[in-house]
Amino acid sequence: MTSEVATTASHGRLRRMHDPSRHRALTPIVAATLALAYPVAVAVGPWALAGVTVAAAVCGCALALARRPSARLRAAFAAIAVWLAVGLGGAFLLRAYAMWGFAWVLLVVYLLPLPLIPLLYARTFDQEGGS
Amino acid sequence: MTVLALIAVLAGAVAWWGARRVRNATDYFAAGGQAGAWLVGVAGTAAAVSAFTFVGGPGLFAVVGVGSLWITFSAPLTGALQCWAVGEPTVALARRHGILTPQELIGARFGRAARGIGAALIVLGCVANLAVQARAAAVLGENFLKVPGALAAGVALLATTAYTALGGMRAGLLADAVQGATMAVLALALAGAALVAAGGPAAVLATVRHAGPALLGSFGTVPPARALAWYLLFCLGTCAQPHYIQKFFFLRSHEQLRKLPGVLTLALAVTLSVWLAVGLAGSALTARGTIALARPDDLAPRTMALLGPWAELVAGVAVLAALMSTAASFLNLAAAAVTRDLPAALGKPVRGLTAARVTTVVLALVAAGLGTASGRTVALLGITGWGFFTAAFLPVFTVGLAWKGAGPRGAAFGMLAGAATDVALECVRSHLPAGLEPGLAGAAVGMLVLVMVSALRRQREAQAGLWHGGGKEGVENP
Repeated sequence: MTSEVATTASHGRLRRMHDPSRHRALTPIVAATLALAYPVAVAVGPWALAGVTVAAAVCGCALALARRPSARLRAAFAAIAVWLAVGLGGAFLLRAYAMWGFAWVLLVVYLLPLPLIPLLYARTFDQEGGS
Repeated sequence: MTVLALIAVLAGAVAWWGARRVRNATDYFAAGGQAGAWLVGVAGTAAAVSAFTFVGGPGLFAVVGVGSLWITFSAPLTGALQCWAVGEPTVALARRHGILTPQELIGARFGRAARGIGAALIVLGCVANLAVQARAAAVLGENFLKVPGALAAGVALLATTAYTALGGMRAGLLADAVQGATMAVLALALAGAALVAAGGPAAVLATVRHAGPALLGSFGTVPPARALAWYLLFCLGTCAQPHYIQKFFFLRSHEQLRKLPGVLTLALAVTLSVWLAVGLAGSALTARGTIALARPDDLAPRTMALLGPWAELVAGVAVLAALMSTAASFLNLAAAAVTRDLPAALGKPVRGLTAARVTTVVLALVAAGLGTASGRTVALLGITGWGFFTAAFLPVFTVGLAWKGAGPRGAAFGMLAGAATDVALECVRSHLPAGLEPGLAGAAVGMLVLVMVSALRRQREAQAGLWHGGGKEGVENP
């Protein structure tokens, strides 16, 4: 009985996660929140702006979830969020170290994802496109 | 002078080829809609990479160091981001409804008034962006080709106008792809040659580190907030540039999108190598006193002059290719807006191809005049042009295409509010806090207006029992 309830709850959660209408409903709320957060982050400081940068870039990609939600796509966006957060965080930590700062942003923020993100796109591509 | 004459002859040949193949509006404005990912990707990068990359970018590096590279750091993400956020719904709608231009896409989704406003803003933005190309051509003529700036700007824009006016994007796509491939190869060659001439990467880095260590910090000499704002502006902004979105209409099928981010990223990364390498090498040469700069835009020309006449010629051709491919897209978009979208928005018949050709010539002349008269550096002009499109169109091309509740009024007011905010903030740019980019602030205001006006309208119509979802005159949401 307990496992049946757990399975049903899990299926319900999965169904909600894969429901495009849920993502569509979230779209204006997230967009308006980010639009308000941008000037606030500028006023608060660069760390806050780094947070908004990561959120806005990932949410831009995540607009695809409103058309074709999938676990694979969600995992791709999570990976991009982690990469951006680590890349920008490292840039902040190394900003006073001339060569290390340059090497970090060049390798981690720029060169490392160059082949990976297009590959992520190709792997998560949906022939139907959710259209 | 020989280069300019050769460009004119080649442009004439492309124009003749294109003019013979243009039979209808689809050929003229969407290159027939039969292109593959490689052609569109390379041509798209050529249109995206303007003279800003070859002239403004390295110059900006000399001033702010690694901070300038934050404009380019979003390159790994932007190809995929464009396809996820805008490309997929755009290709779906274009296939279903025979849409040829970004402004028609706005019209199909949000109705006639929004299409008219979008078209007017595209004309304004295109003319401003064309002026950037004309300004860069003037710098190119004076510094690389040793001819008067006005002559170089005139020949480059006239050559582009010739094949764009006669062959539309049928000729433009072919020319863009050839220019994109040429640009990528030459950028790589110039990047390598500049680093070698300055003593190799290790010596270059040692010199810059000794002379100005702050240039090599994670954010160079710009405040981190400004570097992040540039990153965000050039990352999200790719979803709002009409000349980027235009390329999606050229694709022959949805399947072509799979490979497109890979092609875009590869071509962009190769071309952007010139920014980093020439910026670094030029900064080292400046620090050693080998070259002297009167203004930041002199860095690339002075570095090339040091390499020898061959490098000046190669750089001249690369910059010409960059600015001509970008100018071709803007000319075509603006001509479509003037001859198709504005008349349609006013309820008048759409003009034919002859009117589009005449409009292309007039727009080129206006932009050439504006560009050669402007005193602002190429980098600043480039950021300004990009920011205007981001402010005006980011909300409608992202949230507008993804959210069913986005309505015609919200879209129209969102575009106007975004553009007006950008222009107002550009006027006081020097007083803005670091991190507050006019283009991003405009996009934020436009987004809020789009969401709030649409939500209020939807609520009012729901109360009156009228709301059916989506745009009033628009097609269904993808």
